[in-house]
Amino acid sequence: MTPHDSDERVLDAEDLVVHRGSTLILTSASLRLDRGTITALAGRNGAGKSTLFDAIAGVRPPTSGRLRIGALTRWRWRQHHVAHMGLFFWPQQGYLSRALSVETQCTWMAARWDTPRALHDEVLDSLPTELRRTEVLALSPGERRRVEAAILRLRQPLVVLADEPFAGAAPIAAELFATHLQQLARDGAAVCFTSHEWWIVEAFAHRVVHCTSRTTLDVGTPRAARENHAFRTDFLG
Amino acid sequence: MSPARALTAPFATLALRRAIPIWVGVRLVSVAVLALGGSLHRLWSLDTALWSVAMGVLLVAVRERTEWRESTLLGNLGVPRVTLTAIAGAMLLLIEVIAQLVAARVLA
Repeated sequence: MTPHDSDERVLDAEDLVVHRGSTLILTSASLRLDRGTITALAGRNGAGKSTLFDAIAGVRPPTSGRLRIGALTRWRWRQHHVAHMGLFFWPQQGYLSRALSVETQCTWMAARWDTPRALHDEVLDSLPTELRRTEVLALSPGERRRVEAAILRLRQPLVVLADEPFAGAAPIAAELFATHLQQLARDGAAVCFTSHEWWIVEAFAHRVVHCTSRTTLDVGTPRAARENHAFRTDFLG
Repeated sequence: MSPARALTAPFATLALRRAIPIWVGVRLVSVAVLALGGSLHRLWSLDTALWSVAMGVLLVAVRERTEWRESTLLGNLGVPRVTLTAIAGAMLLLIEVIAQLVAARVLA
């Protein structure tokens, strides 16, 4: 079975049109993600990558479009709908409350989604004790992202959308976050991330989707993307 | 921690952390406005209480728009964002009722 067989496709976002006020941001943008693969959404600043993620995650729903996750299809959705369908959204600003400790939010996530005890313990054990007891407010941006990368495993998601998870991270930290995303893909999730760092895309992505001219184009593997004239001109320079 | 407590305790904590500072803030504004108008005796009257709750719930709702991370966390937990606002609003009402009861007892 190839990754593009229908059983392997876990997310199919079709013909998304997104407006912000009266301004058209995306027209007929699509994103298709396959089980166990890591996809990079690449494009210039302002191309609409975060807008596309916000739309699919239901944070700022699109004007029109269709979303299928697993066997479920919706034409209108909010974030809590897609969370029940198996999507986990990791925005650039983070998703943890600053007012609660890391351990409390781990336990909350695990209790909500019936995470197996072994996985809950594994995730907690992967974090230093002093980090676990700390309120998220006291964490540095790098520590917060490390914690968020670990906690999202507790959801055991079908799909992960990670917006700029590597932004500002030192190479060693970026590799650690990427390891978490690779583990999720090995567990069967479809992972999609945005990044402006081409070395990260080349090192960790199986496929590249080019976000440009208010729409999206699948440009294949990172190697194929590098050889794609339009992608090279628009993104790699 | 039991699963029920693990699910409800963070909600209660977040809701209280929203409701208490807003209630205190609104009540301080009440004191200032009533003192300026020379009618501080109306601090625990029904109309001041209703004004406090109305302003408080409005501010709790406004905070939902600014607490982006908490909203995303709730979304990832499969909970509508407005849930926390509703709980915080209910807590604010409860705080006002308790304050009124205490004030009535002290002033009696």
